[in-house]
Amino acid sequence: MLRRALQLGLGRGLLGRRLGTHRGGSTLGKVEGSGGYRGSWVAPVSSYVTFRTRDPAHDGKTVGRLGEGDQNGKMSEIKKKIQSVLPGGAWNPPYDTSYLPPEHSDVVIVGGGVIGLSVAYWLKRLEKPRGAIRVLVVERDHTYSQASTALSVGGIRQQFSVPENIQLSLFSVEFLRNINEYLAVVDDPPLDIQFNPSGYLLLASEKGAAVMESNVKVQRQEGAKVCLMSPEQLRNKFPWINTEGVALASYGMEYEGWFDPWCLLQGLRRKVQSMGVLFCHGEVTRFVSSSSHTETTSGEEVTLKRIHEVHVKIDRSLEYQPVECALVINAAGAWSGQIAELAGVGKGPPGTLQGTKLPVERRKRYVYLWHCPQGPGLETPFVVDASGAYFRREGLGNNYLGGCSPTEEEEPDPGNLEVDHDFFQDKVWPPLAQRVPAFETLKVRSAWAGYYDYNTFDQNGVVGPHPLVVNMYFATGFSGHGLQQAPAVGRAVAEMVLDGHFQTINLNPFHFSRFYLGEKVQEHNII
Amino acid sequence: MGLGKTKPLHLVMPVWNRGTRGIRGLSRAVALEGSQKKGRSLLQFLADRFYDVQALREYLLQKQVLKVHQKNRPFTYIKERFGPHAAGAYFILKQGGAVKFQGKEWIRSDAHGHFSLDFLKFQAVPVEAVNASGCAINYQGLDSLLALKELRSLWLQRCPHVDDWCLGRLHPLANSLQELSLAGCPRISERGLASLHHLQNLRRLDISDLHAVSNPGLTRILVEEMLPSCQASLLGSNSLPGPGEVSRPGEPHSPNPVTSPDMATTTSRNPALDLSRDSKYPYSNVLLARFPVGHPSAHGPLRHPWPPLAKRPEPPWPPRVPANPSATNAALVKTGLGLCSSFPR
Repeated sequence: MLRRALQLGLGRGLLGRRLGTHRGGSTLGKVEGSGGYRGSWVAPVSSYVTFRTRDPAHDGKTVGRLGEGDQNGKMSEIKKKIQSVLPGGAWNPPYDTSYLPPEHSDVVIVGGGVIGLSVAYWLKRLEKPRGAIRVLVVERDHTYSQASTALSVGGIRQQFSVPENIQLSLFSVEFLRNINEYLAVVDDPPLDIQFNPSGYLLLASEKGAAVMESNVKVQRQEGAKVCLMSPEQLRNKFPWINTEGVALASYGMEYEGWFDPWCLLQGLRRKVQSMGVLFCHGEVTRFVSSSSHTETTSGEEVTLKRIHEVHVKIDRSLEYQPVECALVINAAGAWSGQIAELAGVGKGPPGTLQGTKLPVERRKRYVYLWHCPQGPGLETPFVVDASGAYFRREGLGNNYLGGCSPTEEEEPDPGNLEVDHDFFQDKVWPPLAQRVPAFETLKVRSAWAGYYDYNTFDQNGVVGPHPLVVNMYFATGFSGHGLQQAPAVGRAVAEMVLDGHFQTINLNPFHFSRFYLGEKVQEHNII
Repeated sequence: MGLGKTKPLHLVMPVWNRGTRGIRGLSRAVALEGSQKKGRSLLQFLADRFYDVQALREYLLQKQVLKVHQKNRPFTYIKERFGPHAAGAYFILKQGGAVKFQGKEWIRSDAHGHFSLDFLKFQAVPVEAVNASGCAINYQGLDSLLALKELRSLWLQRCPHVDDWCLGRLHPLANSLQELSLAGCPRISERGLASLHHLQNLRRLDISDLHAVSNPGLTRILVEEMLPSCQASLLGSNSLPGPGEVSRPGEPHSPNPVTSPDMATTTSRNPALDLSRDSKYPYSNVLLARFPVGHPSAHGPLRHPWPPLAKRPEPPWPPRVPANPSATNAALVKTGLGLCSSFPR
């Protein structure tokens, strides 16, 4: 009897983990003969129920029965008792609202990509008493079909020129290495991040050699393991490279390579869910905010705004739920410009702080996958040519991934994610075939396109609060290296929210006000 | 329908399992991911319902991880006082492995984990071979090994915490390392093997029995292509019994081809290592065949891959064979050759 009772509890256990408000017994039971009662089901408390399947093959046949062979009423009595004892609630509201986000949430994160989830993770991890903050993640595209995270090539490197970027990347690589300690969930299998420690190989022409040398100096100071190679050393190490036009190469010995972005995303999602972060599939359509007027020290009048409510529209429905919140984190990636505009960022006379827009827009980038039987072997690093074209090995079967960033003039229309195959013919293939002669014969197997959250100002991230919309924080604009910096950026934002300043990595140069002040944090040799 | 039908109660790792097997728990979960049972135990149920249980289980999980970290802490005092070679040797011996200084005998700890500290006197003598097979060495612990600049042979067989990240950082040893054995490491995949191309002096590489490698035959060919100077002594998984077969340790897979008299003396001197007669260790024969004792190679004084051992009595606890051994687990314990798997704490 006790066993049976616990079994019932187990059945309800699944429901207990649901988000939001709970609902009543409208769900059809799913009963399996051998495996016990699985899946989510709610039995009406009142009486015995005979479960029937909807499957016509089983129509009319009783598959399972509660209280089978028991004395009448005893089972339901025990069930009632257990339901009242166990946490999880026996309250059955008359209609189902579980798909709606909660009415209050301390932090609303707009965007459930890798950056948004990372912010959620670090917020929950760094909060002082357990469960102090309620975090809601709003994601529009729950299949991640257009999300930059899933469409990324997944590279991670330290070969930047801005020290903050190097530090972010070093922190992230440490996170990825210990991912099963950071993102361990009891009872779930460990994550396999599929990291390829093959390194990045950046090639510089005569013109860029000096810049590369000074970059490597900075990288080494920050602790990256990067070595410089002359064309001759390059020929010895990678005989398949044509070193014509190459004056210098820098090669990452450790911490660099590529990994599986989907695994990181799912790992973060799983962990964050186990930490009690709430998810909502919907779209942020409106911010309700109040404003107050103050003067700066120089006598200028500014309007400070504070967001009070976020309206979350439910996917494929007219329904929306206003969520009262204390903080909004804009991690919407390629769409963060629109979110910022909704919050009133950039609505003001041009040239003032109020009129400064978030300069993040979506840009379409193509990735091509090709097969080349004679191509470079297992030792192939992530090669970035001086022309900007890049490629890396994919798997063992002589498949390669690669692409190239188009110039400002030939930016494709970002309206859809269609692939332009001529771009490969005209822009990607010629430099690559020149660099690796084996690529003269190849066959493109497939291609896809994804979005960069492209910062048109200086191609670097925006982290931290907005100076005027005081409770909107940014974590966006990484222009293609957001995935590899996500774990560190999440931590930085969480520190900013919880402590009011950065602790691990100082990201003050990435503050929004640089757009107004015109201080560019420019990366030399951006890829 | 009752609770009896649900899966037996278990944590992901058996925390109350004293001894080194607890440390290896994590990797076992990795190795068995495919065959992991789907089902919810009472503990899971309770953890779903009660924050206290959940917190306790999270704490236990963290403790497991911490234990591995603690085992891999560097001995900075010894390093400062006696130099990197002594520190590296001390680290390996503490882990239960064996080291060989240049021109000296193999050193390893006895049944109780004790070892003589005589080697601290060899300050200027570099370590030339390390056998860390079956040790709980991880990425952090590799620091001690990377300081051994004269290291020529390194055995990391069946190390549960050696993964692709570790292989990615072996490049400081590129000038000296000639022999490397990674056989049976459950977390090494072809992705990590790709980064071995830094080790251009490598002569022998054992990459047999790596369960995480998706395509062993192809990987072997590609690795051979990548390291042309690495001799044909490269072992591919196809020459070894497959993972399914290894799990049945009762059957020898290959007849013992080693008939070298040198070998015979070794085995007779050391009954604990009498691999040729013991059918419990299916692929040790293959290994011995591949690393012949009197191999006329230019590798100096290194004679055979297994250092001579003192006879070690079987400790009463923990039992050698777990009550319900899962397939790979059993293989791990069995092929631990009794060296480290029953290492008493």
